[in-house]
Amino acid sequence: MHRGGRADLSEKLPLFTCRVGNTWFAVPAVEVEKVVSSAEGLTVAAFPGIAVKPGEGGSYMVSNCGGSRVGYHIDEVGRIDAFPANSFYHLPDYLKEQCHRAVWGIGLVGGCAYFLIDLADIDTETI
Amino acid sequence: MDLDELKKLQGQLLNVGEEERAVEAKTAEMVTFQVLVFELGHERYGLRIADIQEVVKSAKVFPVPSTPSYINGVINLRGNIVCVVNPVIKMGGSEATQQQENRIIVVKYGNSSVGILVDRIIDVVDISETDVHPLPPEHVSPCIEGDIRRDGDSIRLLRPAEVLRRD
Repeated sequence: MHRGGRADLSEKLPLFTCRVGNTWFAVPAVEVEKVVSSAEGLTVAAFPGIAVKPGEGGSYMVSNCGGSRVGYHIDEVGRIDAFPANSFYHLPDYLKEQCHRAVWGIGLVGGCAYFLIDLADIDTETI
Repeated sequence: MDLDELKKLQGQLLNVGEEERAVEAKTAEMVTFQVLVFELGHERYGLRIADIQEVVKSAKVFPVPSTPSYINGVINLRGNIVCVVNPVIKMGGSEATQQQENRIIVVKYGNSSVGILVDRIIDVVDISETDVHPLPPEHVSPCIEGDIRRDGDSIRLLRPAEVLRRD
């Protein structure tokens, strides 16, 4: 089973959003199993541009796509909601090649930017 | 043909060459173009109007994670996401922006539009090709077409295709 994925942006998107540092990220809600406070027993990973800081507080968004359970370090859970169609956009060509490959879209909703992440493109590490 | 005739002919050819050069110089003087002059950091830069799509006032710039330092972020330009860059950092300079007015000059780059965040728009000026002087050797850069001196100020005329070239 493929971990991650890129949804059709013209459709209403059920997303899980979370904040890491000053940045908000979004992943398809169906890929999120739960949020836990400890990384114990998990393979951990970090969102693009964020260093993994295991054991320094925060929580972990657990995804079990692809058969392995991976915990992504997050600071705050945002919305778990269906975002309106066409509120998310593909990254402009100029940015695509200069951005982390896992970032494939951006949503500008209510003055906040959410970066769409393809979990399949995030490297994981075992701690 | 004797020597005198040859000298006469040579003189005529020289005159023709000088006339051609004078016409070329006059033509270069007459070929004018408009330049949008703006301030970034403490320097003045210019972009040919023909390279500019539009100027956006006070758009909110959303930073993008994990991008090079010269990328300020993105803006939502009437439903189109436009990447915004700082040309000074892209050219290897340090970030010394004043962000007085936060204007974004949107230029065409390939199939995309890219925004250049500037501190202040100064003016649109008419320039002739002869007003664009080469930079001193120590400041030569592929990103800068030349130096325009106007009213005691030095304006660096940018080549957007080079400034925005991806690393």
